[in-house]
Amino acid sequence: MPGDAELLIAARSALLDALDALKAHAANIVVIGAQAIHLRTNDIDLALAPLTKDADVAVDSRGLSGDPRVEDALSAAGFYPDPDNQQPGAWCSPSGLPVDVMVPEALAGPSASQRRGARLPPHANSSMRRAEGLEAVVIDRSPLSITALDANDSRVMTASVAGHAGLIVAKLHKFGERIGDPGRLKDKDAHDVYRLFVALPAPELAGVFRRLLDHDVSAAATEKALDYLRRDFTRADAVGATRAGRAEQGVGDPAQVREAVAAMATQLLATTVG
Amino acid sequence: MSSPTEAPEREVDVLRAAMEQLEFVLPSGWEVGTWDDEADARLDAVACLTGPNNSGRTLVIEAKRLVQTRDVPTELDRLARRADEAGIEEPLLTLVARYLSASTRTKIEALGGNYLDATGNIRIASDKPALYIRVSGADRDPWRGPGRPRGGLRGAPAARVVRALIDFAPPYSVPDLIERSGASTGATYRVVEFLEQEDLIQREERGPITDVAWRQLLERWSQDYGLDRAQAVRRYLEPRGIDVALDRLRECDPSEYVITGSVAAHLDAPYAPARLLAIYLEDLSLAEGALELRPVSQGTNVMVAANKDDFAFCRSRVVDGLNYAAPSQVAVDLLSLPGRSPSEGEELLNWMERNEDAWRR
Repeated sequence: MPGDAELLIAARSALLDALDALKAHAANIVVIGAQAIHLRTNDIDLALAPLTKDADVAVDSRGLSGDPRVEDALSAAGFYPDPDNQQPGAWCSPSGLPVDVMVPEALAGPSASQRRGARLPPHANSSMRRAEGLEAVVIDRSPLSITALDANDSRVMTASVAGHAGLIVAKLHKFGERIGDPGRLKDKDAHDVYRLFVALPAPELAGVFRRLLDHDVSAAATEKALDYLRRDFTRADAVGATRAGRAEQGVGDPAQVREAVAAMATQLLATTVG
Repeated sequence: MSSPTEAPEREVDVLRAAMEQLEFVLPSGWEVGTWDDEADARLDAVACLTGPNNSGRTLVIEAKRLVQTRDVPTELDRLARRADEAGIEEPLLTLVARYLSASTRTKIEALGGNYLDATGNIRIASDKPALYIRVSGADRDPWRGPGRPRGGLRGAPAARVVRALIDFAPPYSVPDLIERSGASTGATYRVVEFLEQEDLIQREERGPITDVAWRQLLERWSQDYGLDRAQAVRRYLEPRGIDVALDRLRECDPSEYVITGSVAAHLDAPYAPARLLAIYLEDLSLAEGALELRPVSQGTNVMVAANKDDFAFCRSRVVDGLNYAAPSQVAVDLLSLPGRSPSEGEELLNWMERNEDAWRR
């Protein structure tokens, strides 16, 4: 569909705008979300194409400089707080596309109930949003070259992009936390888990998961993600596997997706936590 | 009932004789419409049975010289599947043969099928519009002489002979064919005789085979053989997709496996991306061993068949570290596989027609 293709081009452009705006903090910025999934899995051929309509970045606050402040850097580049989303860290690119700036909960400063903004002075409380489950993406990440998809845009930037395992942990939190809230539970999120599993051979994936379980920053979030994985994905009739399959209804093979994600999830658990 | 005196040898003659028997017994107000033996390449014939008020049903027909009782369930299943693929609603599945034995007739009836034979044995049962015909013809095969060879192209020896007839361009003598096919002398002569009767090969009187209608021969063979009828077929899942399974095959010795189906067809006639990997294995234990495939009941993407007699391996070729079956084998397997595979098989046959020099020896 041309609409999806245009959205993909525009979202990539907004991501490059954000990376450029935050270049003073480049070492602390990690590309996450749909853009990262697209970059990590674009070479595999599945019935369902990845949909990329947002541009999300995570901030690794360890060693984050106070200068420039995140809100100043973004504003100077023409970004503005998203008028349709009052949450901290919800920005719009100069061309009006949403860009979320998020900090893993464990690295977001003192927490309090109902507190949604990161507490990382001198940066403004509203500049970055705290998010559960992003701890693994700041540990499992590596640089990738990111190119614009618009033929008239020649930008190429190298940025840190979340790895498969980090993205799986983040997706499992997002999916797992929404169980019981059917309106927000998305087939697409479950299918992304399947997509990320397919894209990396089992031994490599297990190796990264073991590393995440060993690291102070990511251990707790990873353990929780594996609990979600065990609960929602290790049987073909479990809710996560079912949702992943349903995403391919009419375009692919739902039964195959259900069985495959259950097999890969079971194997990962067997080779990481035993 | 009247019995024809001359044995109908070709399947088209069997069909014609059996349809004449049906026309003879139809009640008034009923007629059987022109039967179309080219309605669908995979169906022998389709005929319209029309009753009073122009209400009707479609007879979907498989015609064979002989139908063995043990093959009835498979034949009816195939017929149902193919009628479904051809989009025919509420088909009357009908097996047609020169002669159907009492046990074969009982079996067909027990499974809800219909039958016709050239001696006048008939069972056609339709609930809507209501029609029930059950007529007895001969109780013994009037044409069966002592030691008369059985027709058809079932089994590994026939497969070896057919593969060789397709893969090697004539002329050649029957002894040459025996050597090239690796089949026994008896089996080779039996198949050659049958194919001459079916008009699929031409042979000089006691001389060499001079012409092979290879495409028609392959399509005829696909009625009796397909990957789905290999000795043992198992289905598996490689969760990360068939490319991962192909990488594992690269680590195996080419004599242990041969790739057929869509993946092999892609070498010559690319179609949509392959979603099913079909392979023959020397030893089925390789599947769950070196290939690390998982046996699952649903959502499989790898189909594995045993090929103990090895004919699927004949004239295979290694390309980019993978062992692929010859086009003739790939085509017959595709014609029997589900989904869009038969269309891929047709596409490969078209390529084979345009590029005979590239694959025929």
